[in-house]
Amino acid sequence: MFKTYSSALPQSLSRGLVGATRQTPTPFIQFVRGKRTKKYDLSPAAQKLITQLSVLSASRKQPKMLKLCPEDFVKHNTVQEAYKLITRKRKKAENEKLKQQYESMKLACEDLSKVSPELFEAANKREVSKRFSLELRVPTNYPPNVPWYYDYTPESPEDKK
Amino acid sequence: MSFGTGIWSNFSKRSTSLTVSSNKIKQGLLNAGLPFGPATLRKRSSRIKYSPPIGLSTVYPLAYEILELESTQIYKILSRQANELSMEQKEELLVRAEYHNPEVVFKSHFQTNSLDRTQPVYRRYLREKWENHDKMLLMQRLESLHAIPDTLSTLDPRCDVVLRFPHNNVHTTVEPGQLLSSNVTKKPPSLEVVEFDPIPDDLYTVLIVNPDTPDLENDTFSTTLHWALRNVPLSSSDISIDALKLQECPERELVSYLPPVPDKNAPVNRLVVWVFRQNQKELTDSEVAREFFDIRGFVAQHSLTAVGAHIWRSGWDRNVPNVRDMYGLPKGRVFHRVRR
Amino acid sequence: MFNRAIRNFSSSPTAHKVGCSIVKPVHHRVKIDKTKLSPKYPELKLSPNDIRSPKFVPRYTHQDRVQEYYENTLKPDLLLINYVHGQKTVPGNKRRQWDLTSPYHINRPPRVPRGERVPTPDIKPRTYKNIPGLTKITLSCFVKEAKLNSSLAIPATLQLQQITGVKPTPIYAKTNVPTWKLRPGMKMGAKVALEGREMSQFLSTLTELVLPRIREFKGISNRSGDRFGTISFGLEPESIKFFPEIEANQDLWPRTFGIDVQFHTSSQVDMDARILLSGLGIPFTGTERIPKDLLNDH
Repeated sequence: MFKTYSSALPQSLSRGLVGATRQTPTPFIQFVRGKRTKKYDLSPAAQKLITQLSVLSASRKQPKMLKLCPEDFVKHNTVQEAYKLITRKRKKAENEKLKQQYESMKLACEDLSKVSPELFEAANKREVSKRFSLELRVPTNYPPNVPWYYDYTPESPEDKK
Repeated sequence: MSFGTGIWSNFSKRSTSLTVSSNKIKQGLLNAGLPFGPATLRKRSSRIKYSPPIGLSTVYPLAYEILELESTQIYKILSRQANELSMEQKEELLVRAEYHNPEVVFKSHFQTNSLDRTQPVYRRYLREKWENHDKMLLMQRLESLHAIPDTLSTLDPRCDVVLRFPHNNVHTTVEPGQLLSSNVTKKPPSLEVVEFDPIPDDLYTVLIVNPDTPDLENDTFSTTLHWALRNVPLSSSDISIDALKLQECPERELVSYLPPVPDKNAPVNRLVVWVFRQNQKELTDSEVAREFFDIRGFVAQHSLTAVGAHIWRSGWDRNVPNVRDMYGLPKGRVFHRVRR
Repeated sequence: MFNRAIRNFSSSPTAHKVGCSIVKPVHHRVKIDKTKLSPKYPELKLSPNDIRSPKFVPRYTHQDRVQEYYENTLKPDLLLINYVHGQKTVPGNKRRQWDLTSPYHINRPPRVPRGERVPTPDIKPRTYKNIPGLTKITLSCFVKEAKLNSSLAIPATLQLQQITGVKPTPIYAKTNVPTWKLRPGMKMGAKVALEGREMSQFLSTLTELVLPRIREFKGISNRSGDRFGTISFGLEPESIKFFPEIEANQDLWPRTFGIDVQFHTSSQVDMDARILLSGLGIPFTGTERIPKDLLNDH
């Protein structure tokens, strides 16, 4: 609740002076609102829980609000709008590509069913429990030195025994 | 392409109202950084303290280029298919071409008083601002004061009506539903009718009616017509109805202005301003009764379209006898409680 | 048998209902947002996308590799894998109307579907418009011991937050089981729903750092799933230690808590969801059961 100041000088400077030439001036007391004065003795387990709760608290996650001047506000909006525009265009192009793929697949199947019904039957069979290869990776900026093991063969259960 | 070379810096075909007039602000918007610092901040201390966000200066030129390119393409469509497009389509394309122009965005956010209403993009920004506050406020006041349906059944507002009284040379606008003193309302008001749609120039009718005149014979209230204007021409550049415009052509004033002079102890009077579009037809009839005015009959007879409204309230105050003297009106009534 | 237009005793409230709101003022043409008319708190009237609003959260802060990989590689492949020519819509199991043989059937709520509690969705043909995608990952951590020692829910919550970087919401017991000393309202743990960049971040940590290091992990069971595209599995308390955020300071985590992971996908059936997840780097084991009634091949 009360804070004492030895002087108005910076701490390091005054500390240096005290030992050398000057006497400590009379301290003045300043009131600090909300400062905890009473010490509570908590068990370490309880103290740990309090620390954990303070990590979870919302005030830790609230970043400082950005104060932009009007010009920068307009510039920020411009950047947002441009990003929205290119995202919209990219998504539209991707959708268009998928649509073309779908339509050509459909057309090919129709042609095949007319030309050779047996081949169509074989091609149109659903593969049960189809999976992507486990070696397939999300591309990274810094891939490993050997990105793909082309001669990889999975271990067979007989080898293990 | 960079700043100052694209379509947004070319004013051979575009209006100069699409650029910011202050050079310092303009340079701030047409540069990656802020060459003159944050010129819009008033205080010197805040100008010195201000630091722009990290990375904005690198990405802003790219964003400007992308949006400007899009705008160029829209202008190309406009010039190629000028004859095939309808008025609404043209307006929409013009809005889209300029809607994200940083200078236009700046003006429509921070310099709203001096916007050029002939430009579709500014009309769009003004309409958004109006719909976000003023339109809702007007409808709330009209409905909670029961101006709807006491005068007309309903309103689909399409234009903003700004009301001012020339009182002591103070040109402040009246908020809908405000209680005004008789001193303020002693002279006729001036109106601004702000249209947002791309419509051809039209003639307008303005009526100010008071549905709260006591009618003692029938133990009810009657409607009085306080002011009626007709055949007032308005356009996107000329939007105001004031004394000057009425002096030019006195026939436009169908019924002269009568200030609200409520009787003592009568309830507060509602004065409802109705603005109608005449749909290119002229109003020619001469005689309209001021007392027991039937507004619904009048609107139906002349097939008018209500596009805007406004409302204010007037109660009795000590200045009412002076206003009556000014207009040569008889002494007002004083109502008392009657024990039945 | 009975004409629905006949006014019967139960329909009078509907017949006398007013067409619009009767609370004054009646807004019949313009919708009025009262918060916008109030002069208080002008910054709260701004849209949350506006940077001046206190609700503003920057969303596009970094590249989303998993999403890009999905868009560029997985989507065309999934379209090809799932395509079967001549698919038809499989109608779902819907609520049943009463046959109106009795006047009491009118206005009675429809019967529950045959053999189910809730109606099931229709399975539509797979086209380029409904390629399955990962929409959400839900992590939930239910600590059984928290019924005796309620403070155990706090480290479990913190653990979820450390792993995901998103603030979890607490979960409470719902049922009353006196023999287990469980009562409704007891705080039992936490859950967190991940979407967007946080989801991608968690998924890549899980598939690249955690799952490969679990010794006994063979893959998610092929039998897991809720039939309509949500796959879930559990992580043991020991496996949680492999998350880098927990591994970096192990002495702070004397005890870790197991979590349930749910992958919510936009696929219509589980087998499509499994194909998608295998493309995102999640292995599967065991034999898969294909429900024939959900196949819309021919």
